[in-house]
Amino acid sequence: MVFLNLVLAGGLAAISAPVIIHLLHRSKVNRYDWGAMMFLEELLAERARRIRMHDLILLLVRAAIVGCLALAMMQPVIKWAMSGTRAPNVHTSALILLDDSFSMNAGRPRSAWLEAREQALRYVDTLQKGDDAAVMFTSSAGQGAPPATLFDMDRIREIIRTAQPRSRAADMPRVLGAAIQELEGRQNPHRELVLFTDMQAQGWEMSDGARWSFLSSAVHSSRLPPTIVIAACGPQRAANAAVTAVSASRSVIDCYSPVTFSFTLANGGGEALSDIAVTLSVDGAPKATRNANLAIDEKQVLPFEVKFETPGSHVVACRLRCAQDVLADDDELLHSVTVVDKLPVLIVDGDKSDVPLASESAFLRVALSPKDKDDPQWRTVIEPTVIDPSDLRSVELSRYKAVVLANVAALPGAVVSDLERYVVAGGGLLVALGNKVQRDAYNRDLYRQGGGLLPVALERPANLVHVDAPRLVSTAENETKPLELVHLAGIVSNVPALELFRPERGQDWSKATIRNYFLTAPAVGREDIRTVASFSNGAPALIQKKLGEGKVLLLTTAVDKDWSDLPLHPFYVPLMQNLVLDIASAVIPPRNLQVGQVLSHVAAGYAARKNFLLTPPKGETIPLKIQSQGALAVFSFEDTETPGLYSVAAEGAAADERIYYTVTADRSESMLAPLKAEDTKRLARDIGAQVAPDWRTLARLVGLEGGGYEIATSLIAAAIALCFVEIYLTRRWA
Amino acid sequence: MPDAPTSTPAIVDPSALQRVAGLQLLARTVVESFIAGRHRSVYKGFSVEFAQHRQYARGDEIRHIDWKVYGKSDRLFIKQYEEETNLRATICLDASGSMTYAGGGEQKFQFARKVAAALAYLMVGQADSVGLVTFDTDVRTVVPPRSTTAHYSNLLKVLAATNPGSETNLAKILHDLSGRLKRRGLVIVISDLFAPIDDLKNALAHFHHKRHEVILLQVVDPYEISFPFDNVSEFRSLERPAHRIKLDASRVRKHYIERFENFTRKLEETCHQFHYDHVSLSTDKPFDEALSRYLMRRRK
Repeated sequence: MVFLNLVLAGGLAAISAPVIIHLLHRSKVNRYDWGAMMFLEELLAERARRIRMHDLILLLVRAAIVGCLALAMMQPVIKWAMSGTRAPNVHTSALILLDDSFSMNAGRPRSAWLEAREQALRYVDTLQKGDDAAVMFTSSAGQGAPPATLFDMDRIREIIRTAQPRSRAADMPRVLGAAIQELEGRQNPHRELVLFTDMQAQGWEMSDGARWSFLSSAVHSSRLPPTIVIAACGPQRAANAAVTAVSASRSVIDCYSPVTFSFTLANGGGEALSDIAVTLSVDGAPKATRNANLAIDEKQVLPFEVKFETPGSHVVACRLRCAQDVLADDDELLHSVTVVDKLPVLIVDGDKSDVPLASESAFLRVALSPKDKDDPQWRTVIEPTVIDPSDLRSVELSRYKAVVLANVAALPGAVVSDLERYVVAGGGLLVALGNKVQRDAYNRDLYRQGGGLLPVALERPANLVHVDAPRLVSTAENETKPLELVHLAGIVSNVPALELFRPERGQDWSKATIRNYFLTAPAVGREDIRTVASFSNGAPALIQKKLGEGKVLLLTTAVDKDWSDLPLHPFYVPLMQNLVLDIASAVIPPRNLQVGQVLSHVAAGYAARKNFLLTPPKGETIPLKIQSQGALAVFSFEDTETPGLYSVAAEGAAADERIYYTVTADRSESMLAPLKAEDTKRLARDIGAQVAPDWRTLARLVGLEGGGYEIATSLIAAAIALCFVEIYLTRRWA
Repeated sequence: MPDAPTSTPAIVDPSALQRVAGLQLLARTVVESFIAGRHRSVYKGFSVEFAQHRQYARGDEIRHIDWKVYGKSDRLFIKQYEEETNLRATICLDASGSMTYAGGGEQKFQFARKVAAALAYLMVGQADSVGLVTFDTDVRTVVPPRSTTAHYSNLLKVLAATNPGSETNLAKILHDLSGRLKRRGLVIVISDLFAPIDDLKNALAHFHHKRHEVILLQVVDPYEISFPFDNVSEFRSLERPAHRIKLDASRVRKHYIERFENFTRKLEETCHQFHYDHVSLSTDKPFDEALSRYLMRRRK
């Protein structure tokens, strides 16, 4: 039995009324002092039990009268399991759940969305006067205000007719949970939840047993478990090719060397696809075209090499054309690229020397900006600037994309704070150690018990010696056993900057000999810290820490040749360049967004005082909202529901000053493979949901499920009958 | 006849005593006589009237030897004479809580106290010895029997100082009392006698065994006889205030009266069995009238 109006459960407290009346009645009895108690005691012994029994029966009858009335007000419903049509005189609360995910656009000539809408309208026609209904969408279910429950079916029809698919993915367990919760608050005894969907397996998360068992318990613990029907709409077997992902071969893209974009093509449908024409365009201009064939469920990566001519914001787009394709919205993938002209890097040299190549940063500086004798015009994007540690306080860090601390002994507290703010705001910091480093100062100021810049605490230099050779460096006093020299060995984590140094890529960095490095304390349980490369003895060589929007990279050895012969090997140049480019590659704020992500643009200096305009994929130019943060101006736009190309520019700016943003729909929706038979069985088992492949089945399932019987009237009748019983008993026993 | 003490007007109404004063209390012949010449003592003594002979024993006074019999039978016999003695009465006054009830008449204890005072007045006036025992849970006061005027004043003081209020076990008290009274005499119990009839019977049997004559003056309130209550009522025990009984009085009246009458009937049967007198005194009637009726009956 369930109660439609559980709020009135407090009415049951009225059962206490007869008890209270009884107690009040008790207090009104005449009281006498009495001497001849022995006669009354004899009487009482004989009659007390009978009187008490009578009183108890009367009390129960009176309480039952009140209880029946209170229960009647709570509108109890007794469910029945028998089959039949929607029970007569039992109203229905209907929840129409429309899958408005990205994949509902699939289907030719009629999309799954149109079919779902049509079936939903037919379903509304089956509802009767007194029934109530609400419309929910998978994109918004459980978020924001609950849907309006309406008795006006014309309004429901209007909501359905005007709805459009969104560019978001569906999370069915969450959506169904929200729908069941919504139905729980309805008033009518019979509840129906009808989900109109394309049955796309993606989003159902059938492998997530925990979520489904939670949902199952929610359904079964429901006061009135609803009849759940899943109406399958759209083509059951669709072909779909999609461009699902893109990656660049370099984290920092300049206009001096080409970059390779790898686009991932996927067959998300149920048919093999052939003669797929794939076109790459840059800033709207086609650059290359290729053909591809995709088997069912196949993914293919197509590389396109692009060399940008000018720095600034550019857009690369990969578009495919396929005759069998039923979903056009995922045929193109846009990618915003920031091409840099120069990348200023600040090197803080902690061991400067007038002797050539004796300074700590000498080799590093050459590695970051090598010269080509044959081509004086050739240059890299990195522009290093070397300063003394004492000059660091007066430098404006925001002018640099990365800062390198090379064997700096220690840093004043104010500088450490500036560096922290710089990294948190998106800057990169490479800390290379050496013999000048004051361990205690580093641990105190830079490590700060794990809260500072340094990923790990420093312990002591390893002071290695060659076992079979004369000692190259002196051992520490407390060292008792010489250790064998090591070399760079393993790449522990996947870092784009080190991809080049994998054994299969030909760069053998194991030839370099490391004579000394700092032993470090392990960082246990920190997700923001990871060792990315290690020495041959397993000790960490490179440790990375994410801090705010920026990165810190700790090189446990030195960047000059004092502690190793790294600078003497050819791989030193690409290694240092890649490390610096990696920490300096952050584009803040991001320009490639998912649907729903906030689009932000940051302007500084003079530009911060300008008005910025946003050009969306469709519609008019929109002025952006300004939010000042110190000397910066942050412009943001939240309504990025429409995927496509957005651009931001200051009012009156030239075309090449325009900054491009891309908003992409969740490409997991491109996988149109439907739920498997065992999945639908599990849905039936877990939440009692039944799949209706057509309207006829839907009508049958909705119509044949049982409902309940309201017993409020019966309870009132019982209360009246009990009143007569009470009167009769009172008179009889009086 | 002694004058009524002037210091106890609250207890004894002089006009009532005047009405009672003309009466004489006559005990049965087997009980010690209470007025010389009219009551014959059961005790044999050496007075003027011969009673019987008995064989001489060592220690007997030689002057009581009947030499005539010795001359005839050559045996030594002592002459015994019947002693004329006054009544030795003990008034046992119930001072338990139930005696504080006052429903349709005077408070039962006040009524009982007046009866006790009146009886004492009469007996002392006839040179009878009168003692007093008050009791509730236990025997509270014992005043040995005497017949002086000063003793009467003392009795009245004790009566005046007695306040009822506690619980009682009447049968047990009477049992104890029968053991305490060494000499045979008249025992006048003034009480409502609300005790289990079987226990009461056992206690009276003890008196009978000790050859006491017992007069049971049962003091009852008219409400205790008629139970004139209506509706649901709660009755609180006067002896145990925590003990309460709630019932619909109108519904149980009939059954109550049945039980009360049944008790009274059994009490009378018991008294008849032991040849005791039982007098029911209702507090709504003048006590002297009932007393007069009783004394008139005893005179016969």
